[in-house]
Amino acid sequence: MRIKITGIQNRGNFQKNSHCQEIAMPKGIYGKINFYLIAFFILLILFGINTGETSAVWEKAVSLCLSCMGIG
Amino acid sequence: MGKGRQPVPQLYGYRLMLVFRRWIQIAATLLSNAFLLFPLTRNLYQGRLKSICVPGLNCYSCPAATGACPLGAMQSLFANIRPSIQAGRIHIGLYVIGFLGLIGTLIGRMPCGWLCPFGFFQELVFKIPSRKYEIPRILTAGKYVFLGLFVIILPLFVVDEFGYGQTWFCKYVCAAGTLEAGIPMSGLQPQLRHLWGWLFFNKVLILLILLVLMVFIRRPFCRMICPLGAIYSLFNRLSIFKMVYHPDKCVHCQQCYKNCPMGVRFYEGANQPDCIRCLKCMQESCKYGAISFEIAGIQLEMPRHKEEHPKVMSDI
Repeated sequence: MRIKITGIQNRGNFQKNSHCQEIAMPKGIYGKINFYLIAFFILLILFGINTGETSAVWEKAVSLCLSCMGIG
Repeated sequence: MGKGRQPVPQLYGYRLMLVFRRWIQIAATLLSNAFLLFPLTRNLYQGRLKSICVPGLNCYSCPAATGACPLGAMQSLFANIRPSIQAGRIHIGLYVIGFLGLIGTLIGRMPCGWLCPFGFFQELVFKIPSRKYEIPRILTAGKYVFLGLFVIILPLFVVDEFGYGQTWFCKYVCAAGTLEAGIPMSGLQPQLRHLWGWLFFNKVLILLILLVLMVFIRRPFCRMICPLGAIYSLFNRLSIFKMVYHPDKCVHCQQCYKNCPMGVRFYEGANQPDCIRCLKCMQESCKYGAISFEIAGIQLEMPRHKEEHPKVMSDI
């Protein structure tokens, strides 16, 4: 029998169906992970903007990408 | 386990949402490709909006594109990582990784089902009447191979004598680039046709094979190849928006699987990597209320349309 760790659904219970056994995770864990992930990725974006990565993206995006077209 | 249960009525709000999804897909496609002056300029849009990534797969060399393809931007930054560090710039792809990670954490793979122009295109092609087939499940792992190899490893580590890498996925695989950029730009700038070689015809062949597959198989590019979908899929179980499965209500009729544009067997678990959160399973498939969704742990109830099923509603 496969075991899957699931999120907030069925929290606090062990639920069985014909395919798998689902083990509940405490509700707060995913909330905290989400919060830290969002903060982390926002920091990455800000750091990228601060170092001028948006300009690098723009320079690439406004020039004709021959490799994207299968030419260069 | 739910067998013998009365079907619950179709939810009015869900139905509205599905119509809404189609309009959002159209709007996202138009907004991603809103530079309609390209027949006059015969060139790409050059505005500052192109420094912003779009959430779906939309080639930035498409003549109408108004944003940057996150996958192309990421490969480009990875491919040029050595020269930029040597020049004292820390351009290592943090902006694009942060952008994709933030979207993934918020809504998981939802952009594939709602915002991606190429995904929308595949759904339209699949509507062509024909016998439909299913792919072996093992092939859906292919997108992770393309992500790891063609988007990360090869651009980072295969470099020329000056330290420049290549955008491997764009160059050798991406069918969206051929469809949205290669063919239209060759029409707008005839001099480009003189540069056609085996690489171009190889990409056209990939596109043609995929076009045929799209008629018979649900979203073949998204399921087997797309590295962008592979990135978003890593967040499906962690995202704030989540699908919820109620096993006590499920009768295993497999309608969710039959109607799913990605061939997801929802009854094997919610938030699988291939689930694009299109919500089609809730409206068109499950009549037993076994599928719902939640945002930040709060399950949302959609408004019910009592007039449609008054007898059944009275039983609830």
